[in-house]
Amino acid sequence: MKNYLIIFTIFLSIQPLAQITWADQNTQGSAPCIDCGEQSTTLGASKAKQDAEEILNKIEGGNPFQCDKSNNANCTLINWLKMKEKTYAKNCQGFFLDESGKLGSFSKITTELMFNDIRKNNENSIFAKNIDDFKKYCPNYNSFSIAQKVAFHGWIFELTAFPESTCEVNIKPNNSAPTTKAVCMYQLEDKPSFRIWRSAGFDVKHCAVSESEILTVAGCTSCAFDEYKRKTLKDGTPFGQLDASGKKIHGAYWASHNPLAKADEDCMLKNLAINKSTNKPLWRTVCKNSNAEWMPRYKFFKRIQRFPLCNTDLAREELAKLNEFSNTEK
Amino acid sequence: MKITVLFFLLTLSHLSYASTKTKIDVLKSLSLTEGEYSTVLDTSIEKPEFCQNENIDIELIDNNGSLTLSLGARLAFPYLESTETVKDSNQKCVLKITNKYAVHQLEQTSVEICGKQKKEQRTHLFKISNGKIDYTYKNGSILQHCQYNLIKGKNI
Repeated sequence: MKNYLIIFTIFLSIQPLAQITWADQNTQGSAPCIDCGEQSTTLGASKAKQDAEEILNKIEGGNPFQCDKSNNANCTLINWLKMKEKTYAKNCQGFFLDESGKLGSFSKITTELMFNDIRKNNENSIFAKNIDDFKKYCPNYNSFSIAQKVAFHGWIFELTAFPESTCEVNIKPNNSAPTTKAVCMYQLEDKPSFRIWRSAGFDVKHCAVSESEILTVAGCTSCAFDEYKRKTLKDGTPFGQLDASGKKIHGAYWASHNPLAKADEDCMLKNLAINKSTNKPLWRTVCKNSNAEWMPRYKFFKRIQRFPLCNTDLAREELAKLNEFSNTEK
Repeated sequence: MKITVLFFLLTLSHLSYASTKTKIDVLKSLSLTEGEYSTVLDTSIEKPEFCQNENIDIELIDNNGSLTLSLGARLAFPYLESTETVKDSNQKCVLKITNKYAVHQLEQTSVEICGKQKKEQRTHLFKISNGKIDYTYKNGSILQHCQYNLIKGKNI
């Protein structure tokens, strides 16, 4: 009987080790913690943290973002986000500001995630610090305020969701990926087993959510946020590492984040006309290895430059549109 | 006495189920050393989109002893620590993943089982030799292939 008790005691003591649940894995990851909050805190409450708390309180209180006429750039940004809400593709309107200045259903989640990251990591947050590689697409980026930087990242989230799903929350699962199905607005893996690694090193693992939670806007956006952050921390930008000449050298998860090779781009642009028999553009048949992802891949890095504070030709086009829109509204 | 043996066997089976390979074991089987690899896709062959045109990173991510091999930002192969893992997929289904290791080679098969019904089976085969990684994906009649040239260096 004594032997039985000893063995039973050993068994019981081993059992908890052998039954680690997803919930345990969420909090016990052995990978080095790379957003451990207090470890990166600078002396006292930083400006970044103060800004984050102020804006998070504003969002929580349901307060709108309003134009402060003493800050032209912020007024331009707020008005542009309101214009986009009225003029952008229907499903994606939730990424902008409504007429009263309140965040849409999608931008509320991304903004809260980003400002919570800033509150925790202060100036070390990827959403608060300068990113030199962004200057290739947005020369003014490093001079943006923290709120403007967050708005720029929010624009990239929108530009990512649009080609993946046209911001359709209930998009049909895509079964063409080799490991498992791609689901939800950001087309992420349906099963947590295949996506939890995207949250490696983060203390809150948003990509560990269940198969049903990933189908919610919050679940999908939060996991997309982890992948965006993972890639930026690893390679310097959400799209991957750039070489000295500015050429991107690493592949990214979302197709639109991977620009076309020069030869492919040239072939596509030379063959934009529609083939009347197939009702598809000529490049789909003329250009070798072409597929439907080519156009979003071509447009993505141009669309980024449309952010109105970027000081690019495309941003100036947006400002002209905003001016025209404001006159029409009056 | 029979009860003692039963408890002992249960304990052993649980231990072997929980973890059989460490990160070092897996890296050794795949002839990879600890670190980050940059690769260049062999553009001489026609390949599916998921192979990616740009460089990719190969990482073996250890999440509390659970090992996931990521090949670039798109392909990930979890539970490499066990020869067989069964995970709850959702309330109705379980996900069964089987890994077969050979020298310079790994084959992972995943199948979702819902009640008595088996959904599609996916098989992934990696062969690593002579500075190249061959990746073959099989799903029913679909057979796709990527080949990457490994570039040494950029170790972390």
